[in-house]
Amino acid sequence: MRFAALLRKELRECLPWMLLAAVFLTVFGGIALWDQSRTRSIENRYPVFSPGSEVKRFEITYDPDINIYSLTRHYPVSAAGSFLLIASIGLGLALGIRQFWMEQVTRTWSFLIHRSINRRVILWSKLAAAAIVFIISPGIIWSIFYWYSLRPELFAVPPTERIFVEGWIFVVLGFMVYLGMTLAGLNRVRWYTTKLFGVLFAGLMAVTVLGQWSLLWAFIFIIVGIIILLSQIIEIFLSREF
Amino acid sequence: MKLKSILKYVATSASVFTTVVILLLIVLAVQAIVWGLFIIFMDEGFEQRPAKVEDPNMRVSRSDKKFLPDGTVHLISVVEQKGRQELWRERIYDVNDKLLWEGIRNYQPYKYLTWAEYPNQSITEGWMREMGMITPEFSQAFEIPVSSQGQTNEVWRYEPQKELFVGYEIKGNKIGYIGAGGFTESKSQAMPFGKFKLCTGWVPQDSFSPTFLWQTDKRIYQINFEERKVALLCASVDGEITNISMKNWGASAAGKTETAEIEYRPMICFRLGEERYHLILREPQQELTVTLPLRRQGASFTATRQGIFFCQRTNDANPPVTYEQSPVLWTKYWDDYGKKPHKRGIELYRVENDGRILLVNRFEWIKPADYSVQEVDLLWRSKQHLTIVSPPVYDLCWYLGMDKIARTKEEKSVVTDTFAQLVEWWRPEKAALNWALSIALMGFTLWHGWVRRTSWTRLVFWIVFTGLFNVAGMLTYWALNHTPIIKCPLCGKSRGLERSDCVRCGLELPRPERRKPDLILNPNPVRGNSSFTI
Repeated sequence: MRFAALLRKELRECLPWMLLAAVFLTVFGGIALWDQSRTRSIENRYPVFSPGSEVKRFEITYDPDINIYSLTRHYPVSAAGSFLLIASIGLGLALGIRQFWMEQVTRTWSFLIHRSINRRVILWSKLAAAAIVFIISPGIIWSIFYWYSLRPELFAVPPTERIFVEGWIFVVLGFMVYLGMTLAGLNRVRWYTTKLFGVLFAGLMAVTVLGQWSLLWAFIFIIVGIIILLSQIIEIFLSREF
Repeated sequence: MKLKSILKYVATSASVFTTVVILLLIVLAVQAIVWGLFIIFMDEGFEQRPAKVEDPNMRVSRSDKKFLPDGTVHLISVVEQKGRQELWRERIYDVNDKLLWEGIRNYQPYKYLTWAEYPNQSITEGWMREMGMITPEFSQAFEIPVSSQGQTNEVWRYEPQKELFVGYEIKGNKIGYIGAGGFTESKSQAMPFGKFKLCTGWVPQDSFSPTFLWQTDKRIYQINFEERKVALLCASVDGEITNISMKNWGASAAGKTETAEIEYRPMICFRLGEERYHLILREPQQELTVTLPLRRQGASFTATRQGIFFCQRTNDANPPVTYEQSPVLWTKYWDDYGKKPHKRGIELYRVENDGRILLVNRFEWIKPADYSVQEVDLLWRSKQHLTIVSPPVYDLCWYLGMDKIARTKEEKSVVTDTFAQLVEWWRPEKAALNWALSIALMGFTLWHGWVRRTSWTRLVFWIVFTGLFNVAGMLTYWALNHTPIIKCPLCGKSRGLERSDCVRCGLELPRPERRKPDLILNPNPVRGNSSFTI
C-alpha cells in the first residue's frame, strides 16, 4: 500500500514530463514519418538507372559503373529515430532532475525520508515510476510508429525486426541517462569535482552502444552500464545522510 | 556473504571504474589538445622555412613510371598542376633522362598500358558491417531496385544475418529469395552466399537494373536481379580470395568499348595466398593462375589482345623474417629504411597461356632519403613526451594482445578497435620517464593515504592502482579518498577521520561529553497536562 501510494505520488510528479516527451515525439516523429509515407513512394525512394549506366536521380555520371553507395539507405521509419533518441535522453535528464535534484532544491528530502517506511521502498518507487514513464511515453509511441511503417500500401519494403529492437534500445538509453542523472543528484561532492561523472559515464555508455553493429554487444554494454550506475545509486541512497 | 555486503563491494568497484574511465578520457582529451596545438604551431614554423633544393634523383623517384605495350618505360613528371587533372602540364622522359615530350596531359602522344584496378565503386565487408551500426537513424539496409522503362517494379534487400537477398514487389508482397543456389520462393530452399567480402555493380546495355559482382571469402558470383539469376564465376578451394581488381568487366557487359588504341580484354584478377594470382578473362573465355617472382609484393595485371602482362615493384629492403612478429621492430626497420637512400625498381612481365612468366623490361632508380623525416621525427618526439602522463597499463594491454588487434585489418568491434587504436597511439613511449612519474605519484599516494588509511590492503591497492594508471589513477584515488585530517590530541600528528583510532598512537577519536537532554519544559502547562517542546 505504501509503495503504491509512493508510486502514485512519483507518477503524478513525472506526469508533465511524460506528456511533454509524448507530445514532442508524436508531433515531430509523426510528421517525419507521415512525410516519408507521402513523398518517399517507391519511385522516388530508389535511384533509376539507365542502360549503360549512371545514376539519374543524383546526376552522377560514374560511367560505366553505378554509384553503389546510393543503394545503401535508412528505412523510412528512421526519420522518427533521432526524435525518439532526443525524447528519451531529454526525458531521462528531466526525470533525474525532477526526482533527485528537486528534492534537494526544495529541501523535501527529510520530509520524505523520515516517514515510517523503508528507504529501499522510496528508492524503488522512484525508479519504478521512471521505468513506467519510459515504457509509456517513448516506448509505446515508438511501437505505434513501427506498426504504422509495416503497412505495405505506405512502405513497400517493411523494416526488419531489428529496427524495432533498436528503437527500444534508444528507450533504454534514455533510462540509462536517467540513472546517470540520479547518481549525480545523489552524489554529495561539489559540482566541479566528480559530481557529474555519473551523467558523463551514462553519456559515454550511450555513445558506445550507438556505435555497435552487433545487438548482442549493445545489450551487454547496456546491462553493464545499468549495473554500474544502479549499484552506486542504491548504495548511496541507503547510506547517505539527507 | 550478505546481499548488503555484495552490493557494497559492487558499488565501490563500480564507483572506482566510473571515475577512472572518465578521468582517463579527460587525460586523453588534454593530451590530444596539447598535441593538436603543437602541430598547428609546428606547421607554421615549417611554412616559414626556406624551401630545400630538390635532389636530382627525387624527380626520377617521384615520376610516374609507365610501360608502352612493347615494354618501353617512360618517366612522367608533372610540372604544373592547374585545373582538372587532364589539363595538368607534364614532361615525359625516357630512362636515359632524355626529354621526349612536354605539354598538357590530355594531348600526350603515347598510349601506355593501364592496369586492372580495385573497384572504387564497391561495398566492402567493413562498409557492410558499418551499415548495421546503431546510429541515431538506426541501421541501414542495402537495397537493389529492379526497374523496367524507368519504373521500379521490385526491390531486393540484402539480409547480412541470413546472407541472402529478400525480394519485395512494389505493392509490398514478398517475391522470394536469391542465394548462392539462385532464386527460390521459400526461405528453406535458399542457400546462403557465405561470408560477404565485397560487391560492385553496373547496368548492362540492355537493362534498367544493376548486375552485381558478389565476392565472398572463397567465391565470386555474378547476380542478375532482373532475370533473378546467379552465376558462379570462380570458387577457390585452397585459399581466401583477396586483392580483387577488375578491368573492363562491367563496361564490357554494358557494351562499351574503350576509345584508346590498345584493346583490352575483360578481366577479373585476385590474389590467392601470398604468391599466386588467379585471372578470369573473357573474349575468349580463359582462366589462369600466375605465381609471382617476388612473394611479398603485390602485382598489377592487364590483358590486351596482344597478351597478358603484369608489373611488380621492387626494392632492396630485406627485413629479417622474425621482424614480422614484432610490430615495434617492423615499424623501426621501415622508418630507418626510409631515412636512407635506397634502391627501387619496376618490372614488366608477360604471362604465357600456360601461366609461365617472362621478364619483358626492368627499370631501377635510387630513392633519396625522405626530407620530411626530420619534421616527422620532431612531431613524434613531441608526442613521446606527451605520453609520459599515459597509464603504464596501456603498455600492459598492448603486449597482452592489443597489438594484434590494432594491426589487423579485420575489424572486431567499434569499442575494441577504438580502444586498440588509442592504446597504440597514446601508450607510453618513454618508459623510463613514464615509470618515474608513476613512482612519484605512488609516493604522493602513500604520503596522502598514510594518515587517512583505514586498512593496509586498501592503501596498497591504491598505491598499485596509481602506479598502473599514472595521473588518472592518482586523481581517481584523490577523488574517492580525500578526507579532512585533524591533529591527534595525544601524539600531535595528523590523522584522518575515516578511522576511529589514531594510526600512530591508537587513541580513539574524541567523543563529545554526555550532557543532560536538551529538553525545554514548558513553564505554562495547558489544561493541567505537562507538555514540552523540542
